[in-house]
Amino acid sequence: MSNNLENAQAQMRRGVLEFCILSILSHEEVYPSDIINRMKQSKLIVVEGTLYPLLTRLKNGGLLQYRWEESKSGPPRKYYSLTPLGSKFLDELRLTWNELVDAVNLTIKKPEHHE
Amino acid sequence: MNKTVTVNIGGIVFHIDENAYERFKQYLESIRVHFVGSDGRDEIMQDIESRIAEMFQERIKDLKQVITISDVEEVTAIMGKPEEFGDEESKEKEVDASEIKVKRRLFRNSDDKLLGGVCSGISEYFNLDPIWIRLAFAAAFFLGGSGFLLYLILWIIIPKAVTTADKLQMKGEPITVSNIEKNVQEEMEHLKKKFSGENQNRRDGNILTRIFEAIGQVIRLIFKFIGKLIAVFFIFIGLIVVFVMFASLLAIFKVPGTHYPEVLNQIFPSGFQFGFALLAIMLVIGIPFLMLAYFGARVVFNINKSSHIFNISALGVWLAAVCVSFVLGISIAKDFSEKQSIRKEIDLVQPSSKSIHLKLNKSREDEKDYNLWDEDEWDGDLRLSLKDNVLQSKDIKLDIVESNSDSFELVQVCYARGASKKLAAEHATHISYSFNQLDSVLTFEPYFEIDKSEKYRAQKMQLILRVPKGGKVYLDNSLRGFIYDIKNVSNILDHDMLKHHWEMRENGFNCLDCDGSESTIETGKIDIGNDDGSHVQINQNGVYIQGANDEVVSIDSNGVSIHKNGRTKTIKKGDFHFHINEGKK
Repeated sequence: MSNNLENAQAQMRRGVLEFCILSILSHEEVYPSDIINRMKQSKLIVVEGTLYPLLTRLKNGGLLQYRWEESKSGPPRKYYSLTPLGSKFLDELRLTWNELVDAVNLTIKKPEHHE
Repeated sequence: MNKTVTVNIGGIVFHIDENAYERFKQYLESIRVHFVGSDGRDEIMQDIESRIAEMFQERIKDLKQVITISDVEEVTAIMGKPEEFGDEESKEKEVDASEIKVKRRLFRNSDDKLLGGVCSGISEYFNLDPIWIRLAFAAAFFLGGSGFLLYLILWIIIPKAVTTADKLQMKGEPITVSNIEKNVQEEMEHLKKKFSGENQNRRDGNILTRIFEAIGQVIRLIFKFIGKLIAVFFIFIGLIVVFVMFASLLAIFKVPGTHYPEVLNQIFPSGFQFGFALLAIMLVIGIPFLMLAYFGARVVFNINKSSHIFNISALGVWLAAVCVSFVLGISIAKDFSEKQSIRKEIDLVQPSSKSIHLKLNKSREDEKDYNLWDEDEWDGDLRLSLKDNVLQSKDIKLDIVESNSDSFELVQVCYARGASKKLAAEHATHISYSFNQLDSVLTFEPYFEIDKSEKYRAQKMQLILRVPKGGKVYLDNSLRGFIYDIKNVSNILDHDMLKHHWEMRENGFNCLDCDGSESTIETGKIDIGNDDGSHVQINQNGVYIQGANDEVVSIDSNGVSIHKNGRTKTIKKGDFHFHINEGKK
């Protein structure tokens, strides 16, 4: 039972996580730490380790690209941005998300209407 | 106080406490294992390391130069344990990995080894104490060294357990993150114990144990040295054999002035088969030596990893070569399976004096030739005539028997082998032989020739000269080795029949001018006479030895008797008394 719940939560979180990352990247070129900081605020990410595999996968999928930038406080940093394919992907994801939110809201609200 | 280690993380140098370093190393290892099988593992690792380097950098101030264990703990907490990454894909992979683990794999255990870790690897596989396997190998060593050979083979075949994952598989434990951590920790503790243990020994151990330790070390060194020496020897032998083989292969095709392959072609059924046979035999012999050299090189240069593809392909090629050699051997043997002979009567001009002089044509003997088997020492039957470039054989035997008619007759019998009686007969007909008759002088050629279109099929020839009663024959010295087992009345051996005149009479072949000094032999009888009158005779009756001064020792059905100076002493059958008079001759 708890296993199922965990699984469902993880799946939901994973989908949403990708959507969020792509959204953040759509505004500006960012460094992973920035993404983490923003996501930690919204409690979407608990540990930083989650982000790196995700970014690598998205990059390998052709949705992201990066460039190197020297850093004063450590090793050179990767700055990520969306590829054209990435922005198209994001647009569709956004559409689906909106539909989903509407649908979910509608579904969740229904019982209240009945009472 | 804490010892520090200098590390390079993401291209930046850090000083880190030793204990913190161990913790950090373990952490990175656990991440690496977590992403086993993921495409971007290296990249992910790099990103994470870079990020950690950045976080470490933030924690270093002017007064605090060293990364401590608490820093590592903080940073790893921020980065999170691999289990917390929540990456679905890698989780599935982990399940897969833990399913595979149940299958144990055979590795060489490099953590517990005397030589190559073969025995301890096997014992891990069967969950036994390595001492038993080692004892078994040591015992097998005395069974004709088979244990040693087996060990070498296993050493080559079995891979060494290099990674932690290998070691877990060797022990049959699941490859999970926690297990790897456990294993790494065990290894660390083992190392620490070893270090502190050695220190302990050095401090507490008495002189005796220290001496034993030193002796052990020396012996180990000596063994290592001997091992390397043997390995160098292996390389040497292996390379020499392979080199010689290549050289001889080149030589076969490059013997100046000959057409060696053409002749070999006469031996093998076809050029195609010949090439195959040559290659197969080269491989059958060459590969083991090549592998020997390879093995030696690995030992000498401390190359632990053996190339599996190389080993397996070498084995495959070798087995294939063995099969090919076998099949070719059978097909060639089949070509020699049946024997057939062809008889031909040859007309002789009857000599006027009813006597005939036999000799061998030696003029071609000194001719430059190329003996196929050995150039000097052993005079083989086959040779390649450089003049005519044909295959010649001197497998000819001359026999002399009594003629039924009133004239000299010569019969030529050619033998050959073949896949069938019919083919064998055909091979036998393609033999050309010539001799020359000049009234009473009969000159034989020492060689017969095998037609160029013909294969070598163990062709042989027998010449039978039939001599009429009253016919006389002189055997020239040149016939040495040409005449074979000619029956004669005095049982004189072939080589002593030469240089004598013979006559065919009612009772057989008689020597006309022999003086009795010729060696003779009869089946089961020996009779040797000396110039001084002494004589040794062994025949079915017994042994008879006569000295020069009329003394005789004989052993026969009467018993043992000694005769000397007119007195005879006999030990009869059933007589057990035996006296020896000392001082008396």
